[in-house]
Amino acid sequence: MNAIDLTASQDQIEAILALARQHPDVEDVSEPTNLDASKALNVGLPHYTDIEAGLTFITIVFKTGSAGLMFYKALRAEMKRRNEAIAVSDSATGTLKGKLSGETSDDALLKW
Amino acid sequence: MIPTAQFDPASLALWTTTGSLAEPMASKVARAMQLAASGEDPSPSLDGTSGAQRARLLWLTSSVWHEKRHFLDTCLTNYGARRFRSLFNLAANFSPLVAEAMHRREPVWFPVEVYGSAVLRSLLGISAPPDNILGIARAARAMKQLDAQLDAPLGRGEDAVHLGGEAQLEGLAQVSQLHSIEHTFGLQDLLLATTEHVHSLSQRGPYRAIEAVAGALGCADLQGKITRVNTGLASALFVTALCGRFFGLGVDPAPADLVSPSARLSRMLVELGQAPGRYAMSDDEASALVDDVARRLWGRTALEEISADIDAMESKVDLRAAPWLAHEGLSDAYFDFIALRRRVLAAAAQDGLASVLPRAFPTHWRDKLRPWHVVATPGGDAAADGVIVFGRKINVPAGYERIIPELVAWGKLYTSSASESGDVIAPRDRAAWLQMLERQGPRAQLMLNGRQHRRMLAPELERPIEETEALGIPVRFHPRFEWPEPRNQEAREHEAIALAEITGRTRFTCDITGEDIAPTAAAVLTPWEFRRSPLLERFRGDDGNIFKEFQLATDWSDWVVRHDLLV
Repeated sequence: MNAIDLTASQDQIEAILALARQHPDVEDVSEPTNLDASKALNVGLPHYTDIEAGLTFITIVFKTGSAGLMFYKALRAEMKRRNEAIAVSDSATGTLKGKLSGETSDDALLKW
Repeated sequence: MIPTAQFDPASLALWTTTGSLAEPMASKVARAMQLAASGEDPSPSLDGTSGAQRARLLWLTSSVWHEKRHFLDTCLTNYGARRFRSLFNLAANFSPLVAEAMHRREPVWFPVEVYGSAVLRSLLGISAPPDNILGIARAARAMKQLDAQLDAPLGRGEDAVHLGGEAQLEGLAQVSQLHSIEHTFGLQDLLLATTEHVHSLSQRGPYRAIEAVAGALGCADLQGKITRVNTGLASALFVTALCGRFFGLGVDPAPADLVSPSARLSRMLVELGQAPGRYAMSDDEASALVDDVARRLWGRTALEEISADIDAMESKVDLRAAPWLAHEGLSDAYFDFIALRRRVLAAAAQDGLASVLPRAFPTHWRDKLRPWHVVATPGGDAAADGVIVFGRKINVPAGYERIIPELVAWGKLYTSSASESGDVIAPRDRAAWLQMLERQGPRAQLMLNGRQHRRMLAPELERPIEETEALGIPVRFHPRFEWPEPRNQEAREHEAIALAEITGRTRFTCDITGEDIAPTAAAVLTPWEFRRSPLLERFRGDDGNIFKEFQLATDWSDWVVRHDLLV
């Protein structure tokens, strides 16, 4: 199965879902999964940055092995329009493939 | 960086550690934290200190009071109690999930929400689950979504202001910590801690957004170049905002202003109009104003909402429908929590809303509050004294008996002998809460987010995994939840600076090369980050050193390494 995870803010995820659900190369899309870490409450420490909260990911399954490229290009256009970036990971291993923004090259998209 | 103090809402436990500090500071802080936790005066422990060192000791010692405020708000406010209930519900469903996996002779998967997604099941090779497991999975997912909405900041990106439920808890805790410093150590020490530590925290972040709200309410006073802020009115609004009507909400992912802390706060701010407060406003006046607004908007004050929430906790949950909860200590913990909430509410009701605001915290509450206190030693402690709640027996190879200890402790429980007396506010059913601490809390965390947590002790989550595997059931994780989320190099280097700042170090020793390095040339790796990095093999070498293997099995502290080793 050719699948990727897209990790983004809730607001970005809604835009990606709208894009993915109407894209012809997308076979299936999972519901958003919240990635928030521990709910323990810590004391404030100077210069200490906790893990970013509010991130969500969705899993996108493509119809064929090569189908992802057109979707990546559509997503790149959306990220360019918003001037934002999202993380792309391998669904099977969770390994980060890279960041997708309006500036991501075709070569990088082809490698994913 | 492993935090020095933490409050766990599942077990009502205050966790502290001095593992990242060097001696003699570590012993000094440990003693002061112990005194603060048991309601005694920690100030003699700081005698003879001054300047930046005193500021650090003040901050670390008073962090216990910060966490005690979280204990109070978890028991008192409806939002806080919901955090306990959410984790309780997850823990309560752990056994049915494992029983189903055993019945089907399949692995058990975490987090539990993966069972509810056909896409994820197909990807991970999980067969279609029965309705009860689907129900648990969907409820867990909806709960996480609702949590995210309740805690969401206002605005996006760098413009975001943190005023969600969790941020409101942090704001109340931060101000309670500062009032406690002033009460015990005096105004000069308050100014020292504020200048050295508070001012370096983000003004839009969870700890200081309360100051911005106080300013917007008209409760600031400009004296020359210094702005003084009275957070009384903002605190009254926060406490009331945290007392929404959660019960009966179920898994509805759309909280209205009856429920959501940030929505309730916004509604009250609009109702109060422009700058309704002033710097000289008393807490009694602020509380009366907020009680009046709450009753006008929702028909109940904060304390009345709490009373109704506790009644609902008691009457609307039928634990008899799940008989296994009685065997696992869960029922007893649930009812002990209700009883604790009633005692806290009775104490609060005597003097009204003003008595639960941060200004009254050091005089009314601080030293009476006795949450369970766990002292964590992530690096491993070979001393067998005390009540060990997290630890491991070591299978010592022949010939090493005098060098390698038979037992390593990572967490010991400390409770005051006064914890059962009438004046003290503490959980009472020790056996039930020990179950919550050692077993049910970690189970809930696995159900919620797998191993993807940043806990004070990484091995805390390993016990339920090992117990499940001992039943012959393989434990599997969605790949995004198998380990804590890895951080980038910039975050690791930034954390080395933060670690140097809070521990007062000007140099580190690289844990890999043994070199002396400046904080600007260092990076901090969490225990799992290190074990999943290429540095693991470099540390091990190829000589099969048994002491290194022993260290890897028992030392779960952070690793400080030369930053270029990771690039």
